[in-house]
Amino acid sequence: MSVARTADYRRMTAHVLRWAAWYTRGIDRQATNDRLDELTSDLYEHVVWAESVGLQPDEVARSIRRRRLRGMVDDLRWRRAQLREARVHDPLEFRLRRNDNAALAITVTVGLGVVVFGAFTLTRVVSYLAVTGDTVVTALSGALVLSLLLSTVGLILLGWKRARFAGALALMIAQAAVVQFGFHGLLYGSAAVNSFMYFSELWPLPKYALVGALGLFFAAAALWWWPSSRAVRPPLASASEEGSAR
Amino acid sequence: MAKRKPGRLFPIEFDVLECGLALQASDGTFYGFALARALSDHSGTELTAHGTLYKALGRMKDSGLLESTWEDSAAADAENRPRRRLYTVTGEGEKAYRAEALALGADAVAERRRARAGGVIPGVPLLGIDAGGLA
Repeated sequence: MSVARTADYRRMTAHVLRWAAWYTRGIDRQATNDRLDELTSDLYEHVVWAESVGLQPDEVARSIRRRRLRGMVDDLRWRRAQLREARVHDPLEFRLRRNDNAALAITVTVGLGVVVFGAFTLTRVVSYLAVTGDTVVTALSGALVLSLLLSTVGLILLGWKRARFAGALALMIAQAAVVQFGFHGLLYGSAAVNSFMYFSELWPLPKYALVGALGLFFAAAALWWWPSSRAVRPPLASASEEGSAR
Repeated sequence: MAKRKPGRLFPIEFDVLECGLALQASDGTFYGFALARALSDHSGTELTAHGTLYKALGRMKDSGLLESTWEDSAAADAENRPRRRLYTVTGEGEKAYRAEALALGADAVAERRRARAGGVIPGVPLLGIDAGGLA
């Protein structure tokens, strides 16, 4: 009986090709086809050679299994190299990544601005409290501390790719509290703000405009990073010269 | 993964070039399984693993040491077998092989051949890099 017709050989061949199909998933179609065709040819030549030298079917199957197992690490390295190369040569991927980095830099900067503003107003309120002992600002200090904590947590979450949307949401909520309590605190902690608020009829407008603008900004950031099940997009890789020859 | 020294070849690349040049001298081209056999022939060692062999061939092709082309379907169909991917060692590959042999030195090259072939590699031309000549 021909080795090629034995169950052992067929099973082992199927294992090799299943493994190859697994480690070539999501890779440039040309490279995948080349690898699968080359393996198919190799398996065929292997059995022809095995028959010519009189190897038993179980020996052939064992030999194929060992070749598959010993090469697994190299298969995975090859896969990683292929994916890396595809990313480098994919202009869309490169542009998305560059935009993402820019969005992160801007969001972190604005978030940091919120935290700095909150910390500044807190120090003014606390120093007012220390000087005057006016307990009317105690609850305000507590609210400022909590909103500052929330905005700091939001900033930290921006550091994790998968948690960025949560960080942006936390900042969206925290900024409203920081600005609201901050301006309120500055009534006590800043003579200039105090004077402005008492003598200008339009004083709430800048505050609400700021809260609205920051809210929209962080909402947009949260949507930008909102988790979604992205379809596997085949990388744009140039066709090899074999491709044109096929 | 081991880092390649500048201007040097990995051991498997050296072996592929050596066996590839031998196969090329007799058949004009070579293909994956023929190369795997040549690499293990007479040594009693196992055939080179699929992953190791084809990853090395791909890397060498990308770096210009080898060229490859798919066999004409008609030729494969006539023999009722899958198409082979046919490789040839390029001029650059041959130069790299010679340079590596010189860098390794005659003893090291002879040692590699003995390790791979159990003393001799029948049919492997020395391409002017005779172990004695390098000494």
